[in-house]
Amino acid sequence: MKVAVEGCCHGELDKIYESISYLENKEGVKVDLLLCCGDFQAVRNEGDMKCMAVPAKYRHMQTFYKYYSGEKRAPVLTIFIGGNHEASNHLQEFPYGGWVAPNIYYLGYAGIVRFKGVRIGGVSGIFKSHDYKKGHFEFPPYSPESLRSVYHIRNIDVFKLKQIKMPIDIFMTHDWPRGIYHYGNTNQLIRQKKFLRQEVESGTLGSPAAAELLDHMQPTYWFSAHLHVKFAALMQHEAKNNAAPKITKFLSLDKCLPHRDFLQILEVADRPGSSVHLEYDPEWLAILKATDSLQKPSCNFWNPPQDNGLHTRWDFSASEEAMMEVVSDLSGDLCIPENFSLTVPAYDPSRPQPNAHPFYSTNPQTTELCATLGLTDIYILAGQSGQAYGEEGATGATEEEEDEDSTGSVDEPSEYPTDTSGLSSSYNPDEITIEDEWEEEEDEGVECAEGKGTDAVVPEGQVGSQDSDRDSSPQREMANRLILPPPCSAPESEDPLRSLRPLSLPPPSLPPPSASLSQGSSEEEGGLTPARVPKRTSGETTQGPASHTGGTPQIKRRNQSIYTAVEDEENEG
Amino acid sequence: MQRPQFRHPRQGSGPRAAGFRSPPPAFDRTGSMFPSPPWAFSTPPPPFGPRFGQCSPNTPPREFGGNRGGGGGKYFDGQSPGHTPRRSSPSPRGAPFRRSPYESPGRHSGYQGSPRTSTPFGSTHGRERGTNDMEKYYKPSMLQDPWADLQPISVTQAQSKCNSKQTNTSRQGRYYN
Repeated sequence: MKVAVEGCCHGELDKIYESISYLENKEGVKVDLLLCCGDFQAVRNEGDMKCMAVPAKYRHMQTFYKYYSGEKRAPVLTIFIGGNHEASNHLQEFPYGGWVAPNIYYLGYAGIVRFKGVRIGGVSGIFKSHDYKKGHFEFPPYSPESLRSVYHIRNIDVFKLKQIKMPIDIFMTHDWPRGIYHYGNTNQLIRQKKFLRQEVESGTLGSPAAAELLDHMQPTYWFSAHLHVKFAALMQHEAKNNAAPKITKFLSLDKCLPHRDFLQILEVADRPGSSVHLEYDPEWLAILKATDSLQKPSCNFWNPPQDNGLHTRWDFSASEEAMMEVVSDLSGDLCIPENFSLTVPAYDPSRPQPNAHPFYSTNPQTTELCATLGLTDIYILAGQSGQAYGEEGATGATEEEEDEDSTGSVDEPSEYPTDTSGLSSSYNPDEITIEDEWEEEEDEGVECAEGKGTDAVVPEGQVGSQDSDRDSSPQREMANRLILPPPCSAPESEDPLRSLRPLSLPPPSLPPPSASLSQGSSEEEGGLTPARVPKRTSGETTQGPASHTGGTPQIKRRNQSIYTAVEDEENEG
Repeated sequence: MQRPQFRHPRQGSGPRAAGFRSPPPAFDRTGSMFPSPPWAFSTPPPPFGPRFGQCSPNTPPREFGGNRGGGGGKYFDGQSPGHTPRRSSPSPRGAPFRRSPYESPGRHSGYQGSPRTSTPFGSTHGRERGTNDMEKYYKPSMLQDPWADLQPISVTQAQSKCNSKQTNTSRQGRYYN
């Protein structure tokens, strides 16, 4: 079958589908499947746009909303993973994957599906060592920190994927497996992207997690994006179990712009007689079931169980029996039900709502899948448990991780500043723009936000308050009463107000207050409901020994030296 | 493989098919110069030919795709035998090629009825530009095997390649040049 692979999408669905159509007509081919390697930007409306880790001036609606609303339909089955530019509130509704629009399927934090007998897997996000061992604790409204961490890949998902035993045909990651650049034309890569030279030569570019998965799964194809360059590699793995050494064909592609290498059409052998519908993968679902209890939506570090005498179980691979049980759960039908439904309003260009707040709610597709297989909706778990977990215990290893942190992935330094040119192929990282500084601040693991000049009291808007109406557990009530230091999901976002629209399942929460917020303001006006507990300023975030704010917020002033006392000087950054 | 681009508004008559799929107007008019359109459907245009579909040397060099911008200028002053200083006539020059085999029928039907594309010199910017945009997004390499020129590299080979580079300690980081 003909598989089209696309690099970074950036919401350019119209262009991508038109390109495929053009190519089909021109070359007389028919594409059966489109794989997109991240930065999909499944932005449904203005609220989703605010949940993208993109500088405000580069936030554009793009074209996904048309496919969401039904105005357009994807002409070819599309499967994608998340990158580092996503409508995170939207994607978080699908921890195990789901349809974001008819004919457009998201794989979730990690996932494997089958199409025409071809096993296609992927893991979403990019690698950042300081968040790698945390759980999926993030929940909207996002703080500037959680807005970024939400798309950082987690070891729990890598652990699940490492339980896979049967061969995988295609795998996708947004960022590159570390070291893959040594298996292709490295010199050409460095010529095209000069700013990658140092990291390539020091072997620090790319994701070690992806490299681990590449070594474990050894799929026939591995597709990535992120670096906005077309790069092919042929990696011959070490032979395992006296079998012939496997070879992985790696391909990274560019973003969708004129004259760029953003698309590739490949002939992939399918298995005759297999379903032409997208199917669940029994081995993967069996692993999800087996590992369900391991998930903790906490920013505490999670260490995978190992065969070291400390764990009762460390092997969660799928037995035949477990896979048959999955098939039975699905009543013998592996086809992924086409159960897409609109859950939030789509963007309407004739009636723009620039002040719309992000929606976040459970998604009936996830609810259905969880009910079918007995899985936990970890999005709900994150919402309920956000306050209870706090951040203690997460800092001990944080500092040592930060030393190697910046070696995770290049955060697309050239993307937004040069976006309009469309023709630039090299970027001098020394010419740092504001956007890069904004990204790099986050990469340094800044957890104390006092430097951002927000000394106002920001009511936390409890993470789980939408549950407070229907869940009167003691834990919730206790959390309501306590004024806790904010957890990792410190809500210093531009939109601390939240709205929960009624779905068929969870009951609606409080309606959004009528007070409107300016984009830059972090102060909450009146309209606070009793359930919202004002928290102390984020400057008091006690994130561990790295914090030096003590108990008072630091206020940056001009002519700081005039005001600096001796003790302040010690605390200056 | 390049396709002629016809952005000049005077060439805008008819649907986009004439705009980018058909041979240039010069071809239609100067039968002696261009006895046949060998490249109209499959092969690239002749090297000296009117690759850019300019029917007039006065036509400003529009955007014709990244690869050709540099080479097109020299043909505009009529040096090339492929160009004669003639003006195009607003005839439906694209008519015989309206239904190029590479055109999707849907596009045609959309253009033929649209008032925006029905005027000979009309502002067809939206539609015409759209199709020409698609050409800009296309690259023949999209269908070529990206691994064709590569040999598999084993893990041990890559590691030794890595080690040999890392022993070069004279290279400084980018901040210390």
